[in-house]
Amino acid sequence: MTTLGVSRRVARDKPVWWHHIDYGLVAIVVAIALFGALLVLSATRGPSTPEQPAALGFFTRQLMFVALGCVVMAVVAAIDYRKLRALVPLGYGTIVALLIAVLLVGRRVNGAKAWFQFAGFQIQPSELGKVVLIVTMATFFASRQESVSFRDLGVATGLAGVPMALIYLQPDLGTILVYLAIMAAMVLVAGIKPRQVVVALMLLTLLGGAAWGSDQLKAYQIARLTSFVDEDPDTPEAKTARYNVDQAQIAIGNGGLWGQGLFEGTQTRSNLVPEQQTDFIFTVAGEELGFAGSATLLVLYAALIFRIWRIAALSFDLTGTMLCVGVLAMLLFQLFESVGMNLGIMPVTGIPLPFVSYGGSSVITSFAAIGLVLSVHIHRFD
Amino acid sequence: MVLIVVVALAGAGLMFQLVRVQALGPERYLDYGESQRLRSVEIAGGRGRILDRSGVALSVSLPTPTIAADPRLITDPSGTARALAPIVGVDAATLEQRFLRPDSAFAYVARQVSDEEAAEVAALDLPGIYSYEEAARYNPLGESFARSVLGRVDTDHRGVSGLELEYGDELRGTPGQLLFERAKDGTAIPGGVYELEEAVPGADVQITLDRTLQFETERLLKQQVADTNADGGVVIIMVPGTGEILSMASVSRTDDGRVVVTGENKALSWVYEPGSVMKPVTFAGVFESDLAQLDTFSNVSYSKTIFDKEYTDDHYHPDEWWTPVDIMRESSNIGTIQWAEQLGDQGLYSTLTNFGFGSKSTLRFPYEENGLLREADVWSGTALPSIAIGQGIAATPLQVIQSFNIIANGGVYVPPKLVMGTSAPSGDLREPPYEPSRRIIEEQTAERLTTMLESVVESGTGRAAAIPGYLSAGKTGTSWKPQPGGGYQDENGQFHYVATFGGFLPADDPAVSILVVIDEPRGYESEISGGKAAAPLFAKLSRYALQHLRVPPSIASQDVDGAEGTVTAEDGRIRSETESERRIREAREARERAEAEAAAAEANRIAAEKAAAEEESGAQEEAAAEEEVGAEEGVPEAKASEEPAEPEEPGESAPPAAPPAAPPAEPEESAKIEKSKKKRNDTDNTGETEAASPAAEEPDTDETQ
Repeated sequence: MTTLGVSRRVARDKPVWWHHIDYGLVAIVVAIALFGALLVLSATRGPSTPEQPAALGFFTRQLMFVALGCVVMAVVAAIDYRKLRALVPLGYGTIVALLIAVLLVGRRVNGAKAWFQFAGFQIQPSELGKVVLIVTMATFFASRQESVSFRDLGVATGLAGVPMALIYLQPDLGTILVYLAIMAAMVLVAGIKPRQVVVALMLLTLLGGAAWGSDQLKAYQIARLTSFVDEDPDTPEAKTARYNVDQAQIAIGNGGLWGQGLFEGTQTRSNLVPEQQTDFIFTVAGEELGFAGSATLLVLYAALIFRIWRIAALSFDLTGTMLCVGVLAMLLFQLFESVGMNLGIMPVTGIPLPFVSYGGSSVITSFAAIGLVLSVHIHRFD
Repeated sequence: MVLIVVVALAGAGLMFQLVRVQALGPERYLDYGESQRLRSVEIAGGRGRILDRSGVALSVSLPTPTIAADPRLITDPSGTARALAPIVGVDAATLEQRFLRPDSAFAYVARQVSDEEAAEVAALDLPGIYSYEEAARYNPLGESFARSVLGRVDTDHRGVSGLELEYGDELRGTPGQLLFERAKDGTAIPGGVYELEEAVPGADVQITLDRTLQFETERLLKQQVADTNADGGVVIIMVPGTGEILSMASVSRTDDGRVVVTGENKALSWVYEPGSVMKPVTFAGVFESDLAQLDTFSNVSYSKTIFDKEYTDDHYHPDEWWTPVDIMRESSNIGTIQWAEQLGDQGLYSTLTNFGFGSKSTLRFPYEENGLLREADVWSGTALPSIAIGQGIAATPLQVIQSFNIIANGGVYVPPKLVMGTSAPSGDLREPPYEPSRRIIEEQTAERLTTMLESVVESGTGRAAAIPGYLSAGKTGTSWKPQPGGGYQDENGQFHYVATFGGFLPADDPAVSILVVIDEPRGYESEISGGKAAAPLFAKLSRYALQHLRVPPSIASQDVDGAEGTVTAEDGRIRSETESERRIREAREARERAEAEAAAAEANRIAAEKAAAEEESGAQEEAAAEEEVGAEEGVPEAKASEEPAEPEEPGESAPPAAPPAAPPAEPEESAKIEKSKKKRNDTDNTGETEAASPAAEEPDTDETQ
């Protein structure tokens, strides 16, 4: 192995895998998730009066998702990440199949056909696909040993392109952007050459242009993007899009430095912010806990990112590093996009805030992703 | 490496925006959010009343039915509209339009309808149609009464003109409000903000108008405008000493020929070229500059050409040597212009501005005008002669009457007052802040002008303004109205006139000042002048006002019949002694007549009482007899008081002539003139002094000298 003292010492204890659990990372993730569950409660409990008691449905389900996520995380962490290689064809095939199936029998929510209705729960395969994509890409690039040819790039693009194309048909623009972010980060770390970057960007521009020109994008999706740039839009779609952002900013601004107090946020209680338990969950923190609370949440995320970064650096092989980088890119992009659109500096796309936004698929996927990172940390000496 | 940069940038961006939205400037979001959540329901405070000077309400708010609809509940919009239209007087199609909006929960059918209409609508029992009460404004003394002063409120009870607008804030009071936080579905958020702020009723505003005088003013003005075939008219009656406006009326002729009280307060918002009523102001400047005295002669011709313009007097006369008194009495344009030329542009301009021309009063009344007085620097060559005789300057009627008030007050400007005060809930009257009075001209100048104005009524152009028993001072004005095309002649070469008479009385101790303006009187040229179209109304109003205000008659007064019996010496200056005595006698006769009437009425009353008493017990008879004695004593007493007033009346066939009861006043007056003579070191002969001094005031002047 190596000559590092740490490694030698750890090597002696090799069989005891739980000695290498990054408890810091686990603590941070669980803290964020519980924090998030509380915000979900506040966003969904309703007026909470004697006549109308607090609605706890969303909250208990979210707690359930968090618990389930923890289990998934533990399971994934226990598996040596190198052994995942064998599972890649199966996982990839399953996801593609699911994504095709969802287009056929899926449930349309808010304009996108992205969900399976299953025993009272909704499952969003494109969420799970993120983890599969990360593993697939990490496995693929790790086998190329830090030298990426144009052909490799083409194969990788093809692998990622299939699920992305299927998601594009749903259509779910936000998730595609997450996939793109994951791809970009992993390709960069895999050792892409400058001229390959140029070609990739050109292809991306072409694809984007094609997507924009096609009829697949709904008017509201375009309006969200244009309303972000255009300050004074007139179309009804643009007004709705603007409404979301305005309400979100009112709520966050309402919080001020110390916030209105948990469950006391007026905009939140008035149910004025749309989709508040999912896409606009950050506004609850902003209004009720103020700058202090929302900044704390962001600091927790920063710690999470740092922790993943550290594990990426500690990894001894490219596969581990690639896994961590993929997870990091996924979380970072979602964090930036979700908080950014709440704050009005990013266009509105339906992206969940990892661990915090209500939704089983998102929470479990995020936990699974952290499981991958933990696995890299635990099994790095194997 | 790239990743590090991306991560750092992303984090920095988020933190920056978070700080910006939350920590640095949350106000805009806070306000926005509150405006969205907070719903306030206004609770109107009752609007205050407007009261006349004796506390009688002139404008009050009363609950009045308003018919409204809930379109969601209307089953048959067109049938409902057709049923309502004839009752409320709104077009059926219009109503139907309002009902055809089922997403709306409210629509007006008709606002502030009569109780009968509301009852009729209620009887129809239409679904979705209901009525509720909202406040409407009423004037208990009639819709048009003092309308131009009081102003109007709109259907939402906000003042839109007049005092209703000027004192809108005071009258409106403080509306209370119910403030609550509401959720998206419109219901109140439990535990959210819930504040009830009680409404405070508006204050009453007590104004200086005298309702009786205002009523009579409006009545007589309407009559006068109708009689003179005029377009409209304005009257202001004020108390010069306090600046209080007792009545203020504007009327105009409608398209269909009726003469009605206007909503516009033309006394303040109408500017016109006043004409000769401005001559006293010109002479105020002349006297203040020590250019002339009452008895300074000047040669006055009939006409004078200045630059391209020929000025003439009203009637042809040969060249005369006239004093300012003569000039004023004859309303000589040329005489006035010649003195004004000595005064100069700046002198005349500063006199006019001192008198308040060219700027608003301190009334703060809505839509008051400044008038038009160009600065002397930009005056053309003919500006001075024109302005000196009241053309080429535009003024509001208030500005004109204020010039008379200054003279009446011995040279002191007292700011006009329309509002006595606003009532606090405690019942106290809070007076609005008033500008202090200030001296504009010397007392002596004011006295001289008064003398001149007395002679105008005495024997000049304003004889029709004289009334029995009181000594009036005033000035006529017959001015040209500027025409739309420029100049004073319309396309047919016709002039349009405005007739004005302004003045005050009693001249020796002014109790009221009155301005009458008749806009475009039509008729023969002799009928449209200030002396003919406006002065008679001045006489009627002054008689009524003085009686109403219980002002005791003066010792002296002018010849009521004007020219009749006037004896003019060859030089056209001197009044005969007999003539002045005759005036006094007639004044006394008038008083006697009034008193005789009063005595007769009293006697009648007593007789009636006596007759009634006779039917009753003897004890009561005694009492009645006593009363009778007392009443009989009263009449001789009144006569006795006048006895000394009539010693040496010569020729007239009238009953025992009554010379003025005011021997004390007379030496005083002549002493004044003596004094002024000494001071100026002038060398005028006594005859001229006689001419200058109004015989009416000192009938014995000739004797004295």
